[in-house]
Amino acid sequence: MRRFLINIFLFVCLIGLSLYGLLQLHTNFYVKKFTNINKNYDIINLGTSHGNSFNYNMYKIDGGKFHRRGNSIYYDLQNYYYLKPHLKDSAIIILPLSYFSFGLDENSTDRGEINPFVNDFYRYLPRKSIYSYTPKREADVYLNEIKLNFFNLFEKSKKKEKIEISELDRNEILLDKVSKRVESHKKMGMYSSPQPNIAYLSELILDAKKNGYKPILVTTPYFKRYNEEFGNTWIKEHYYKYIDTLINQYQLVYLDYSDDERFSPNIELFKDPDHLNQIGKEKFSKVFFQDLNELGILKRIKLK
Amino acid sequence: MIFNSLDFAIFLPIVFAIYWLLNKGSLKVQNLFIVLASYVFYGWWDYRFLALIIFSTLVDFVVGIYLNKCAKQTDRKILLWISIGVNLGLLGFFKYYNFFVDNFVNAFTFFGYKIEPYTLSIILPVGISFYTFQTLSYSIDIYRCKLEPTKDIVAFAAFVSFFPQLVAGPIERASNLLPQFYKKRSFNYANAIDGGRQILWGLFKKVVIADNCAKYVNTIFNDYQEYSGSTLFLGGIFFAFQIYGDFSGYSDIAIGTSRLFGFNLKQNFAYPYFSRDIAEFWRRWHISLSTWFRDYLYIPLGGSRGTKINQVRNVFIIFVVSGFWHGANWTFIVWGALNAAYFLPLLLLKRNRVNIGVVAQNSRFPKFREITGILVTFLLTVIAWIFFRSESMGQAIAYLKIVFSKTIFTIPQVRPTDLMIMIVIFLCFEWVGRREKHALEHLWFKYPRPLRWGLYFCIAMSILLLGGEAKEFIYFQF
Repeated sequence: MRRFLINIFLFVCLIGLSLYGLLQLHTNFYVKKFTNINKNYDIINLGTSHGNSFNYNMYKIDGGKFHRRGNSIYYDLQNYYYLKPHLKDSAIIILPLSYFSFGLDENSTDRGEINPFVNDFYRYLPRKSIYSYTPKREADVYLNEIKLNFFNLFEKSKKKEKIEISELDRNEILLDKVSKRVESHKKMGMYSSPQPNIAYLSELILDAKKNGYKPILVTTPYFKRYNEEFGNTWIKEHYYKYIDTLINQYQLVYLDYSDDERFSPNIELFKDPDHLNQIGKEKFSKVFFQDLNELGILKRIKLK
Repeated sequence: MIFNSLDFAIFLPIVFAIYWLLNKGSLKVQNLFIVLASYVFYGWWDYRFLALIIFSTLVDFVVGIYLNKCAKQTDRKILLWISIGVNLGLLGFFKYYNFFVDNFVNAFTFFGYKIEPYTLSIILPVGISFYTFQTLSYSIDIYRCKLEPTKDIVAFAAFVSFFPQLVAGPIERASNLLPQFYKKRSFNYANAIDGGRQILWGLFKKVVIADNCAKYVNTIFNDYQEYSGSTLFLGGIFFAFQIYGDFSGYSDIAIGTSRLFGFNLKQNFAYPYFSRDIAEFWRRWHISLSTWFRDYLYIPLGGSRGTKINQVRNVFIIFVVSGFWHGANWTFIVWGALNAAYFLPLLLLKRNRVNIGVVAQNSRFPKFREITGILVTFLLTVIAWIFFRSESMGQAIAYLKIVFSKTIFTIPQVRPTDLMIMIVIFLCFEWVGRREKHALEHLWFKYPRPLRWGLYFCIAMSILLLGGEAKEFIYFQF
C-alpha cells in the first residue's frame, strides 16, 4: 500500500507542478495587469471598455487603466477595493460610465451560455469579493487558464496576418455596426434593476471620499449616430436620471463628453461607434487633462 | 456523480482511504461502507431515486431467500415472476411508458380513432437499465439453481449498488461479483497500479477521444442537410469513436476503480473495432449486456438450435430487444434489427464463430484479408450507428440518403486534423494492446520506468489540456 501511495503521490505532484508552471505563464492580459502592480498611482480609471479612451502615457503621471470590456459596477467596486493599497494620497479615481452601466447585473450576463465574464476575477480577487463564488467554478477557471496558457504557447509562434482596410471601407463598416451595437447595448442595459448598481457605485464614491481620493464620473465620447440610435428618451430614462441623482447626492464632478462637438461628429476619431481610435484617444486625453487642470483637480501636469 | 468530474476526483481518494482503513475491522462494516459510498455516489445525481435501488434490492433479496426455501415449482415460478415483474415494471414505467402511449395513439389515429393520450413527464433514473438487469440475473440464477441465495443483506446491497459500475455497467453477474463481498479483500500493489492505469486510459478515451468527437458529431448531425455525403460519412465515423470512447472509457474507469478496492469486474469491451466480422464485433462490444441477453433470452428461446426459421426468429428477437434496451425510440430498434441482418448470413452459413481469437495473434500486423474484414465490419457498424445517433427515423433515412449520394466523392467540409491525429494515435495504442484487457496493461512488463512514467504523464496532461467540453456519459441515458 505504501509503495502505491508514494507512486500516486509522486505522479500527482509531477502533474501538479507542470500545471502550476503552465499557470504561471500568465498569458491572460487582464489578469497579468492586476497581478503585476509595481507602483502607486496618481490616477486610475475603472469602467467598461470605454475606459480605454484615456492615455496616461502622454503625461508625467502614474496612471493605471483598469477598465474591462462590459464590466459591471459591482466589479468596479471590487477592483477599487483591490487597488486601494496601490493608490497615492488624494489619487483621482475616474469612473467612466456607459449608457448600459446601470442595467448590468453583477455577473454581466451578456457573455453567452458559459458566461465566462467572472472567470478572470477568480484569478486575483479575494473569494469574498466574487459574486456567487463556488470552489468548483474556481477549479474550472484555473484549469481553463492552464489550457489557455498551454495553447497560447503554440499560438505565439503563428504570425497574425494584418488586413489592410481603406479608410472609406472602414467608415462604412463603422456605420454598419451602429445599429447592432446599440441594440446589444440596450439589451445589456436592461438585465438588472438599477438600484443595486446605484448602491455599489454609492459605496465606491463614499469610500473613495472618506479616504481622500477624488472620484470623477466621466462619459467618454461616442459617435453621433450611436447617440442618435440610442435616442434621447432612452438615455435620459436609463442613464442621466441616475447620474443626476448621484451628482446631487454626493456633489460629484461629472464630465460628459458623450455628445461633445469636438469628437462626436468626426468619424475619423473612432474605431467603432463607441470607442475612440488612437488619434481620438490622444485628442480626448489632452482635452480631459486640460479640463481637470481648469477644475483644479489635477495641477502642474506636464507632458512627457 | 460522473467519473470525469472534480466531485469524483475528491470522492474517490476519500472513499479509498476510509475503505482500506476499515479493512482491519469487520468485513460487514467495510461492505456497509461500500453501500453508503455507493448511495452517496448515486444520490449526488438525484437522491430521490435511491428509493428505487433500495426497493429493487429488497425485492430480489427476499425473492432469492424464498426461492431457495420453496420446493413447489409453481410457487418458485410465482416468485420469479414477482422479481421479473418488479424489475421490468420499474424499467417499463420509467423508460418506456410514454413510448408505448405515443405509439398506441399513433396506431389508433391511423385507423381513424382519435384518443386523448395520458402521458407523464417522467425523469429516467440514471442506471436503471443496468441495476435492474443485475438484480434480475440474480433471481433467475437462483431459480435455475445455479446460485445459492445470499443471507447477507449488506453484501447483497453492495453487489447491487457497487458504485463503480452502478450507473453504466458492466452488468455484473452475482456468481462473479457477489462472492467477492464475502471474502476479506487484501490490497494488491500490481492490481491497484494496473487499475490506476486502466482509469487513466478510460479517462483518455472519454475526455480526449469521445468529448472531442462529440463536438463535430453534434455539429454535423444537427445540421446534416447542410453537409455533403462525405462530411456526413465522416460524422458517422466520429460518432463510432465517440460512442466507443465514451462507453468503453466508462467501463475502463469502472473496472480500474473496482481494482483499487480489490474487486475484479468482467471485461466489457475487447477492441471491437478490430473485429473481422459482425459476429466477432458482438463478442467484443458491450460484452456484459450481450452475454446477459445470450444467457437469459437467446438460449431459453432455443438459441442456434432448431429449425432455420427459429434461428432467424431468435437472432432478430435478441438484437431487437437489445436495441430497445438502449432506449424508447424506433431508431434503436432499427439499429438492433440492422445488426441482426448483418449477423444472420454468418449464422446461417455457420461462419459466426470463424474469428474467435485476437486479430494478428502472432504477428505485428494483420494480413490483407484481416484488414479487409476489419474495414468492412467497421463500415457496417458506422451505417448502423447513424440510426443509433439520429433523433428520429426520418432523420436517419435523410442522413443516409445524403451519405449515399454523389457528394460522398467530394472532400469533406469538416476536416479536424488534430482530432484525426488523436484518433490515429489512440488506435495505435489499442492495436499494440489488443491482446490485453486494456491498452496500457502490457506496458507494465515491457518498458523501463522512466518511459512508462513519461507516457502516463503525457496521457494525464492530454486529459487535462486536450479534453473536449465535459459531457455526461452517453450510456447514462440508457
